[in-house]
Formats: sequence, C-alpha cells, structure tokens
Amino acid sequence: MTVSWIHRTRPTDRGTCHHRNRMVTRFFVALFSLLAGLAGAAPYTPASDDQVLAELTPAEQALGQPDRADNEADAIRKARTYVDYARQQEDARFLGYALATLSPWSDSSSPPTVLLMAEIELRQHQFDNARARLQSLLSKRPEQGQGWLMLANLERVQGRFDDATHACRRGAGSLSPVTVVICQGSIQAVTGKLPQAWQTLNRLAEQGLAAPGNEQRWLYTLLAEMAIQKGLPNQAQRHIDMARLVAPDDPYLTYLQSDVWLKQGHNDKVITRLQHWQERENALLRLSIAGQRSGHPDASQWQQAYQKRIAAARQSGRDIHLREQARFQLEVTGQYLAALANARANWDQQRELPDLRLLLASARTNSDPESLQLATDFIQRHEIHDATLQQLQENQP
Amino acid sequence: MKRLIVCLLLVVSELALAHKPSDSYLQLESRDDSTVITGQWDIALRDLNLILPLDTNRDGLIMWGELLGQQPAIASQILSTLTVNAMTDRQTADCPLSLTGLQVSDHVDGRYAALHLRGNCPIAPQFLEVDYQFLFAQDPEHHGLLKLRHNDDVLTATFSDGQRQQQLSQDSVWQSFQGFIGQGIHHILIGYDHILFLLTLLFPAVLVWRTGGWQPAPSMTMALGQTLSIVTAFTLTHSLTLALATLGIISLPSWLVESAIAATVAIGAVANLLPRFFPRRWVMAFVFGLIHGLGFASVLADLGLTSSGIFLPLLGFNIGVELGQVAIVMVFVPIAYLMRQTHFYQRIFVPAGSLSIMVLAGVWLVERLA
Repeated sequence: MTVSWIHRTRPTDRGTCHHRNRMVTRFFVALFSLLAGLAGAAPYTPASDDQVLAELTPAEQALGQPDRADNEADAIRKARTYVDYARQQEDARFLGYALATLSPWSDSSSPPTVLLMAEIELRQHQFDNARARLQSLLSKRPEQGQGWLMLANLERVQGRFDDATHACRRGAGSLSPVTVVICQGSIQAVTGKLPQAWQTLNRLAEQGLAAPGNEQRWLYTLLAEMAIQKGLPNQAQRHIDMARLVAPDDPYLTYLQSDVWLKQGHNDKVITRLQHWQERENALLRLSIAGQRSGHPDASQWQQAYQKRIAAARQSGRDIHLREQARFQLEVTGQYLAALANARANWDQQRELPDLRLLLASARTNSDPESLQLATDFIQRHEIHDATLQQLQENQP
Repeated sequence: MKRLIVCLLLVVSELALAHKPSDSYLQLESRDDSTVITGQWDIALRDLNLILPLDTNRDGLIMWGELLGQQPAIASQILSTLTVNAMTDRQTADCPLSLTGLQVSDHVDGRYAALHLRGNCPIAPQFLEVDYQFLFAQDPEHHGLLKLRHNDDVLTATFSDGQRQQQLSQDSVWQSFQGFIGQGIHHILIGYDHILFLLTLLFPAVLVWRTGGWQPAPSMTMALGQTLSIVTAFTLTHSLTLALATLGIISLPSWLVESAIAATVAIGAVANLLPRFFPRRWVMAFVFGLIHGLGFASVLADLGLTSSGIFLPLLGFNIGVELGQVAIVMVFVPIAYLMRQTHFYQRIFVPAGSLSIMVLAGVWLVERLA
C-alpha cells in the first residue's frame, strides 16, 4: 500500500462539541477565503487623478528602468544588492531582478557569479540545481571556502549530515578555524552531540572569537536555536538579543523570537512586534497563530489574508512555502490532513528541526503510522535531541 | 570578502521569502462562433513600473493620473508582448489586440493595473494559441497566469520564462483527466493489498464447492458469471465510498482504514480455506469494497484535489482503478480457467496461496494496528 491516510478529527478534552463547531467554522472560513482568492478581483476606476495607487520603496524607485550592467563585476555587485534586499525585505521579486542582472553571465565560471547564482537557487528552493552548481565549482576550485559553507548548509538542511560534515571539513583549508568550528557545531547539534556543540559555541561566544558582524549573528542564532532545542527559552531569548545587536531588523531573528514567544504564550508580544509587518507572509502566519490564541479582534482578518497568499502561491504553481502552510493548517485552521500532506511534501525537501517537529506533530494528530515511523526513524538514526520532539513523543495518543 | 562569506551562511535556513513573486493575471473569453476575443489583464503596478515610468513626478507614489497618462504607452509597448492566435484545424490567424479601457484592481500583494482587451480575429477560434513575452527580460521569475473561458469551458495555463507559448484547447482538461486515470491505474497496480484481496476472491471463481471439495466450474459461462458478480460488487461499493470520502461525507482515521483493509484480505483468504462458511463471494466483495474505497480515497486526497474541481478527477481516478482491476482480472482469470481442472490448482495453489495471503495480511494487520 502506498502512503495513505484519512482525515481524523481528534476531539480534545476541553469542550469537544464547541471545539468541533469551531473547526467547522474554520473550515468554511478557509474554503471561502480560498475561493475568494482564486476569483479575480473586480476592477474599478479610482475617483480622482490624485488618488495614490501604490507607494514605491526607494529600492523600487531606483529600479525605474533597470540599466544593464556593463561588466561582470558590476553585475555581481548589483545582483548582490538585490539579493540582500530580497532577504531583508523578504521580497522575492528582487531575486528575479538579480537573475536578470546576472543573465548575460549565467554560464560564467567565475566563483563569485557561481556562488551568487547558487544562493539565488537556494532561496528559490531549487536545491538540486544549487548543489550541482556548487559541486561543479568546488571540484575545480576547492579553495572557495564559502562554497563549502553553502554546500554544508544545504546538506544539513536536507538531512544529509555526513555530506554536510564533509563539506565543513573540506572548507577548512580556506576558512578561519572559528568558521569551521561553527560550521561543525551546526551539524553536531542535530546529530547527537548537542551538549558538545552547545559548550563549544558558548565558549566561542564568551571569548568573543567570532568575527564581528555576520559571523557573530550566525553564532548567536545557532546558540538561540540550540537553547530552544534544549528547552531553555530564556537563554534563547538572550542569544537572540545578542544577535539582534548585530542585525536589529533581521527577519529570520524576528521570526525566531516570535516563535519563542508563541511557545511561552506571549501572544501579545508577537502581535506588537509583527503588526507593522502585515505585508509579509511569515509575519501573517505568526499573527494568525497569536491572534487566534489570544482572541484578538483582527485574528480572522490575518487568517484570511494568509489563506489568500497561500491560494495565490498555489495558483501560480510556486508553492515553496510548504513548511509554513503545514504549520498554518496544523495550528490555525485545523486542516490536519492537509497539514500532514504538506509536512510530508516539505520533508522531501527540507529536514531541519522545524520540519521534523511539524512532521511529527501532524503525524500524531492524524495518527498516521507511516509518517510517525518516518519521523521516529530519523530521530533515532541521528540521535536527535530536542525538547519539542520529546514532548510530542511523550504525549502518547 | 569576509563579509561575503558569512553573509551566505544563513542562506538556507531562511529561504521562504514573504512577498509573493511577480505574477500577472490574464483572463480571456472566446467562442467558437465569434471572431471577437475579450479579456482583462491585471499587471502589478510594481511590475509595470519596470517597463514604463509610472512615477513621472518622482515622488515615490504612483497616482491614478500618472497611470492614465501612460495609457498610450501601455497600448503599444505592453500589449505588444502578448500575441493571441485564433486556430482551427486548418488555419492559424493572429488576433490583433487593442486596449479598450484601463482600470485598477486589488490583489493580495497590492494594486494592479487592469487592462481591458479586445482582439479581432479573422476567423472564429476553435482553440487559441497565446504567446506571452511580458517582463521576462526584467524578471525571469515572472509568471503569467492565464484563465481562458472558451465557450463554456475554463482552461488555465501558466507562462514562464521557459514556457512562453501555450496552445489552449479542450485537451488541457482532457489531459488532466487522463492524468487522474493514470493515477488510478497506477494505484491499483502498486497497491498490493487491493490486488491480493481481488485475487483471493477470484481464486475460486473458476471452481465450484461441492460436498467437501473443489470442482472445476463446468462452463466458461459459469466461471465468467462468478468473476463478473465479484468484480461488479467490489466496484459498486468501493466507488461509492471513494466518492463519499473524497467529498468529505465520510471521514475515518487512516490507521482504522488501513487495518480494516488488511483484515479484509485475511478474511478473504480464510474464506477460501473454509469455503462452506462463505458461500456467496460476491457478498464479501460487496461489503469489503466499502472499506477499500476509503483506502483509494486517501490516495486521491494525496494527489492534491481542490474543492473547485472534484468531479472529473474523482471520475478519472475511479475509471483508472477499474481499468487496472480489469487488467488484473484479464491476466489472472484465463490462466486460472485453463488450470482449474488440475490437481495443482485445486489442491495446492488455492489452499497454499490463500494460507500465505492470510499470513501476510495477518502481519499487515498487526503492523497497522501497532
């Protein structure tokens, strides 16, 4: 028999009937907003010539009529700016602009171009392309340390921990020892050596050995994630604060912090922090969760807005937010079957701790033996220690 | 250099970007008894701004007056990136497009310009060919999402940098239907438990139980009759529950369905070993078909159905399952019919085969209940 499961609505102890009614309501809200999202919006004529239709950010204004870069170095510089902007503002359009800028040199073998192309591919979840590109570069230019780092990260994200370790090691020839140690630590943390990694990276942090700037941000982010893994939210918070000293508005850190708050039940903090980021999907997801848990008046509006984003992404055939979708369906709309399907599809692509937690949680909710097995095998094979996973495993149905 | 290195480190963990990438929404309407095509093309103002300077006074704001001012440029520069051809079996003819109006519309990621289009074709189209070149030079990640209403059918297509031209005929619907038929066939052929259940029931279809022993069915008609009654009964009930579960009317936990399916296989095998207690095999096929249908439904759900188009996929998948089932029957029953008189078939194959299936299904049952 192939993978199969049937929806199971699991009544909880508290107010079964009420809970089920709410689920039905949620289902119709979800269905309605899905259909609304797919239906074309009715066009209209604005009342006056002065009506403002859109506001351009300075970066968008600068785009104007994009001028072609004259040489490869200029193109890389320009594309780099676009990619950084895409990351900072979480705006995927700028990845497209970066690609367009690099397009005359897309077959170039110059390392900075190859690395940048690989980075764009990673951000677009084209993991196989990125891997092939990096491997081909590194076979000819093994001294490209950042290439090994990117490969190590890619392998780690996809759960190929041996390959990831190997890549960190290969990078040792051209990277600083501290960078290599952090690289190894990021893998040790998810392969049964969490205590060692925790100790080593904490020592690096105490001794201030990480290079100021991005390496520090990386180190503290990893420490925060390890603290979450160990079930120490206050320590996680401290490390996030340290990382944010380097990168105050970093989206990744902001969401990491929101997730710690959500876990602690600080829904109000999440809402305050993310309320002005409503145009960002990742923020809407967390606003929906916090809003629903705290009964916030805007909760259903955030939920519908997120639902529309999912529908639009699906319609355009670029459904790369499977992790986020699964989480939304599991934690907000209660579409457990769909959550499991998305968590499984996501698992084929990404195997980080959040992916594993989602897989296990949705497998539990659906009582799907095959998915449970999949998650449990992975946890045992790699000796993964994680407070959330442990909690999920102990709560036997 | 150092900065560049570490900048790349966090790449992978934070992949999903929050704003959706660039899409345009193109709706067209055509009829095979009219030479006129109408449509609406929604283009994000941010995207349009990459081609035409919409913020003419450079204050960072795009105003309605500024957009209106670009109407002639939109009519020439933007419409020229879109080509619609009317096609019949014999000829292809370009339908020149004109801009009949300009409005705005709201989408999840902001405001769009809504371009009203009209195309005058030399011939009434049986189907359309659309060539879409908009924005790819500026943003290779751009997609154009086309929804065509031709007569009363709705066809959709997505244009991307790698696929800029598409032919839209009813085939698209047919192709997706075929896809679901293929999935149905695939599923029954790789779903060992369904095959085993069917085979177990069919083992004795070429035999009759007479006073403590198997006898070969006296005629082809009788063997065929038994086969048909079993297959029809199984089909009727599994189609029913497949439909009910897909429509969301029935919902059972997967462990229960999977375990029950294993149990049906085991019981089917036991029935072959103790035939006097199970005289009517079609009844068993009828009742247990209900359970197998739920198993099929879970597969169909995995294929990612949306509530908008449930009927055709359901029908296609069901047809596929039946085709696969017919294929199994056509391979097995003639062989069994030819072998039915042999000692091997009656005394060894049927009992030993049933016993092994019973053991195997028993193992499944325990595994699935665990």
